[in-house]
Amino acid sequence: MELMEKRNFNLIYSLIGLAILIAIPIFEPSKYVMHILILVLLNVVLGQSWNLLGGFGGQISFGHAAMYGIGAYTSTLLYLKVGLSPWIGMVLGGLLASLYATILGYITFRLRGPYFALSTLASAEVIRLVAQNWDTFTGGDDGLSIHFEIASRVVEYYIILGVVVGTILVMYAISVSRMGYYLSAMREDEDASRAIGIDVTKLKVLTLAISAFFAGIGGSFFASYQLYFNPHVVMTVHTSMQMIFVSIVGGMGTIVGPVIGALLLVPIAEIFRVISPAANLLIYGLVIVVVMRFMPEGIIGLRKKFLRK
Amino acid sequence: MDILLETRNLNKRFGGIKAVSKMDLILRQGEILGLIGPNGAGKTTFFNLISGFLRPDSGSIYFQGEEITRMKAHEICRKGIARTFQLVKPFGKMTVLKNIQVSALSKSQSLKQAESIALETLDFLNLLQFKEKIAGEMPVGYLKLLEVAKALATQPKLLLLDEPIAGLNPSEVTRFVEVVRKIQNRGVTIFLVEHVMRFIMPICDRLVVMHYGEKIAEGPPAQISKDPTVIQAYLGVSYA
Repeated sequence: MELMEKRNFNLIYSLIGLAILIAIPIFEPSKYVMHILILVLLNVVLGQSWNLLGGFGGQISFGHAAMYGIGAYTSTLLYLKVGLSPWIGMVLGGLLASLYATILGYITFRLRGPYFALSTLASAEVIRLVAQNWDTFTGGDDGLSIHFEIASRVVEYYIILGVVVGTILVMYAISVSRMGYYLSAMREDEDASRAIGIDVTKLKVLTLAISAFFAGIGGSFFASYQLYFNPHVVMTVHTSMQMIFVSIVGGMGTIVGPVIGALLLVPIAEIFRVISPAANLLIYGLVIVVVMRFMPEGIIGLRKKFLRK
Repeated sequence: MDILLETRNLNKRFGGIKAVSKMDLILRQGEILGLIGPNGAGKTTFFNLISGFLRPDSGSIYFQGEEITRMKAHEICRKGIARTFQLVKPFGKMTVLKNIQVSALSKSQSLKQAESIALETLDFLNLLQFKEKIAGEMPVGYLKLLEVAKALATQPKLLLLDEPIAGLNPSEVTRFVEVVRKIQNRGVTIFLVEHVMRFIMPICDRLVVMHYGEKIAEGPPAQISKDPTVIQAYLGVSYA
């Protein structure tokens, strides 16, 4: 009963939020505001992607930039070489990122905790170096530009909003399914999970693949939206960290967490980039340190704390 | 009685140390078998081999006539062998009910069915009043029972208990004895590792004694407690 009420409650909030997001373009906000909103939505997708593996499953990845980058290169190269629309290429970008994640998963599944995390970091660096050095195919350090007649910022906004809705629906479906229960168990204790009959290897690989799919889609979207990228923009550790921050600041292991994280962090980053270009990363870092120090369960954990009192 | 589990010439080395050596063991349907031995005798390693957490170097394991030697832990669980851990491993941030529900899932058709198995298991162990408690906040005495509840929720035919009463106070031990008997009455075969003789002597049908990885004695508790090799292993030559 209580659970049902809570669910209805969440559903109402989600629908109100969605209605506002759908309505925003009607008020014809400036191009800059739309740009920020698009970045927020993109970060929601990336945060959800990382959060599925890290927040729900407890497997910390420092290498999601690789999947993001694979998404960006896939859709862009498909457009440049065979003329495939990047919006279709986006799905293929997600799938290729999944394929990479599946292979990575089978290589690294035995590793636990920090060792798994380091292996994701190392493999992402390898992928970045490939992208930087395979000049003839990837454009190397110079990256790729895409001359592609984009519809309008409003259309792009709705595309990424659609991706956000799809991502959140998938995450919700997982969280209330058998897989969601298995993920919680794996996060809490891997050995105990094996002892109750969970195929932890399969679960990790599957989760990594689903997570990668959304990171890949995000990367494809970014490339088609920005029309230019290079390995230093999409494949560095900074990209991976951004996904982690969005999840952790909002609240790991919850669906609303990455939404809040993106709503907060993206505008903060933009504001400080304008106010103090020299120190913006410093301030951004400070915000994250303060949140982690005083709200270890993220902003969503704060609400829990107040409800208990 | 039917043979439920059999190990044949099971060996496991860690570097130069023979943790388990030439272990032959037969476990019969419905009995409570105790595994005892001094610290470092290889008891937990032997459990880990049976439950698939470690692979033996050689030898074989049969469960209900089927070879399970190379199977993985989760496959062995699904065959019907459940285990508890010496150091409790609760799913700390989940409620007690969810802990058991997720344990019941691999043998359930749906979340709902898993929940009803979980509730039934909680009722069976008299833990229903704790179902909404966060597992990690429970006292250790109850965590030991939660370990058993999680294992039972996988609906095992064989239950491996690794030092189930370590860390319990005397009244909790008394309660645990009742729990073990109740589980046996359900038709679950029990294989347990324990140190506390006061606990193990009255409830076990048979005992197996390990020392330096090998089986040194086997038989009814009364016979084992008088066995000179066993006394020597525990207390040294002069007492034998």
